[in-house]
Amino acid sequence: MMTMLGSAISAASPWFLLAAPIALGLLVYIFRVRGSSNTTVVSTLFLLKDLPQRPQGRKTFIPPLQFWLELLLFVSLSLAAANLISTKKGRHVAVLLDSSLSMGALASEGTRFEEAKTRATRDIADSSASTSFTVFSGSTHLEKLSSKPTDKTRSVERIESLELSQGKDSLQEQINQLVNDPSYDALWVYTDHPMEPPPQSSRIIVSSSHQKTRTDHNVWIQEVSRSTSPGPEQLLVSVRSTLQKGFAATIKTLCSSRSKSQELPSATVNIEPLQRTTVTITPLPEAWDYCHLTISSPLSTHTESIHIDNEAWVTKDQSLSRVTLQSSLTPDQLGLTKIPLITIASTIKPANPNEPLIIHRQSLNAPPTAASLLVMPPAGPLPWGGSVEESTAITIARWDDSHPIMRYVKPSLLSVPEARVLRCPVSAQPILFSERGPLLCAGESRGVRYAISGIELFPFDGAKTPTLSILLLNTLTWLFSNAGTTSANALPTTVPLPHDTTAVEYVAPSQEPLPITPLKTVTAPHAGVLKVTKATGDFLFFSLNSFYESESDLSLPRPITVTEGSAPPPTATARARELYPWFLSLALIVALADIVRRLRRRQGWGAA
Amino acid sequence: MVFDPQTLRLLDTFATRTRRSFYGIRQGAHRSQRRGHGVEFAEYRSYELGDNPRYIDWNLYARSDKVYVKRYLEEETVSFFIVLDGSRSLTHPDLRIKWESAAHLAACASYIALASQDPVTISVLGGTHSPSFWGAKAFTSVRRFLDTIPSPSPDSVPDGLDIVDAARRAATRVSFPGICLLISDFLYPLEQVAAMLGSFRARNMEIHAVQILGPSDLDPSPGSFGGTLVDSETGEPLGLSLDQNSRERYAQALSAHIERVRQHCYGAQVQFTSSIAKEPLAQASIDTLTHMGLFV
Repeated sequence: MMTMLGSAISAASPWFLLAAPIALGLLVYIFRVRGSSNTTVVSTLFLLKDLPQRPQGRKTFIPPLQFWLELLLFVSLSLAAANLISTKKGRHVAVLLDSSLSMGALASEGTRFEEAKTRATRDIADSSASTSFTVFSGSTHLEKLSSKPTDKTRSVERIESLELSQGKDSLQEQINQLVNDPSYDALWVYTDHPMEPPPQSSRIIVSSSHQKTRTDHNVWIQEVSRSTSPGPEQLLVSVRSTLQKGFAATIKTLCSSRSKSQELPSATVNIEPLQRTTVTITPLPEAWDYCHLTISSPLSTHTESIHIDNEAWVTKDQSLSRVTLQSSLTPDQLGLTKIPLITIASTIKPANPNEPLIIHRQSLNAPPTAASLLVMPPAGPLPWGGSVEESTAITIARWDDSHPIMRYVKPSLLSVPEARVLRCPVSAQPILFSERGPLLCAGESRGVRYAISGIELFPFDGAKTPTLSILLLNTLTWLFSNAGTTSANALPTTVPLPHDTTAVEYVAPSQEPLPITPLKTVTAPHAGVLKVTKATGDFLFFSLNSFYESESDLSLPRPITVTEGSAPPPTATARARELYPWFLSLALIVALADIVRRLRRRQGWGAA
Repeated sequence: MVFDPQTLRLLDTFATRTRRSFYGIRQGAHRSQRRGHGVEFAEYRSYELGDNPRYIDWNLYARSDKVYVKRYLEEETVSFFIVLDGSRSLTHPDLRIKWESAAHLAACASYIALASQDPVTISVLGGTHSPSFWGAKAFTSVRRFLDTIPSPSPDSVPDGLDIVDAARRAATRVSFPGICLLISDFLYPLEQVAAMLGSFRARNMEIHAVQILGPSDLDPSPGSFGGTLVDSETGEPLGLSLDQNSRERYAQALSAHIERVRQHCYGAQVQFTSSIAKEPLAQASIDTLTHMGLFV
């Protein structure tokens, strides 16, 4: 065994290493024999005879390039045959920093997040030099900050560059994922969640910078919506607090239109202890595009734990973004909460017959009066005509690229083991076909758009199934494209944009342009108001809020339980790496180089 | 031997420029030693019976009352005698690039000469006959003749060609003095080179010597670990290991030999050009023709 660059290198078949010196000796012999049998025809022997002669036996061994190439080839092959194994020395630690919204709560020294960073930095600095780290930021998504393990200095740099997100945490799943990953010797978690029961394994170290307790006080806006019925236009604001006693808070509203901003009279609300309190803000200005709401609590700046959740944005045209869901599953289970295009209004019955519908695996008796998406309807007739067959195994055969629903969709990448073949209504156009018939139909009946999908489009999980996700987003955009506003429940979020979008920018809290992706989406990193400019010159406003009760309600302990799965504990062999592919590649490259060199020499010798 | 249209177009731009004038066989493009009815005035001569009265200079007669005829320089063809060294130092299969390069150069020179209606005779030292060619269409025959010259097999016994004797016999085939283009590697002792050149000088020819060197002439290294060097002419072996120092000495010796040949040529009024055999042959030949000074 040999140590090199912090790795221990051993050979599985060390006898093959003997091939290297044997090859060296053999090559020297071959080259000497090859040299002595060489005869070269010359025209200048009369000149060569006059040169001082050296006895043949005292020839200096000056290996040519070919000798070195052949030696390298044999040595590479012998090393590959010896099957060298590199084992990384030192521990590999996964460092997970909770960067969710609740980590922004005030602590004794700065925020909880700042405390966590300080602790992580200190722990890394105290670790041994051979330890390598992979730093993760845990919020809505688990973000790996480096593709390869880094040393102490770089890890500290990465931690210091970390920023707090406005998302909620999914720490339970993220910790489980990292615990069961055998490539990490240890997992260091820096969070504000308590760990119950304390982890038994020495692999897991949880550093809770500030556990959520009832001593943390926070007031936050839980929901904002615009209502026009009954009566005049008004804003409904739901607020909550963690205080044990009631108190009066003030809500300030600043509404902006394209031309001016107007501050509304402050509304005072008596907040009940540990209860949701809704306040109505009215009257609103005649012309406004979006409003910024801020709640001011009697708590002092030092007592109020989280300030980010004290504000919210709302845009004017919100009625069309409300969609009714009819499904036995919740919007969360269907992943609809991840789609900022829509707001789920009801899960049982449509509150308003003019509200768009998403019907998932349920039957529909009459054609709806609003845009509707029918996903995996039960077998039988459809209300627009046409019918649905029983579920069957299918293969995607062809599709209609021209329909907006198929924009950027590559159906050849779809993996749909089972689907329901449709017979499309007369008013609908088949878009996606299996060998047995259409799988997706889209049409318009009595001025109302509808789409029927014989394949399961849910749950929406973004990049995990990108083709299905794009198909679903396209379908929703096509059906509900006149929706003007949105509110996201998981920041950062991806907002699908209308086709003819030319520019997107934050107009609140500050002006900030955002790049548009080729798929006509935009990634919004934080709460605020997005202004979408269309080719026609029209504007759309999207409000993005970070309403996370689980994050804002600091009285909820929400402990994390770590269960080490069936994954084997990390061992040295788990990170051992076989080196023979490298040596085989090297041998191949050397052989190719030698062949190329010989060919070029044969073709170009006249150039001498 | 294949000539692409681009090479032929380039060769079409060349013209022969002789330093001396020769008696030609027929009307041509070169100034001849013969006085006759050309364009360029040469001299006056007293009228003799039998002279054509058209050539009497009547103005001179009016002034001097004597009858003179005007004589002009005749323009005639120039005979090209192209001599290829057919010894094994060029034709040996291992040194074949030298022969290919020499033959290609000979073909190019023939093309230029034939295009000017100059007769071309090609003689291969060691060969049995020296065919003559005339007219632009004869270029195909030239190529065919050069292609038919066989190369000795590598294992054949060296014929021990006496290059001086071969040159002497080739020189006897010269019918009309003209331009002699001698293509060889000139890798012989200087005495032999001098004797070879002397054979053609004795025929009152304008000699252009072109030396063709091959890669093995520049670096005869038999291999990195030494080996046997074999003389292409005699088959004489020499076991030798060339290190860097020996190579440098060899390069110096070769340069000195070439310089001696060059000096001898200069003294003997032979135009000497040295070139290296290399691919592509057409480019190498055109480069050599440009440097020779015979073709412009």
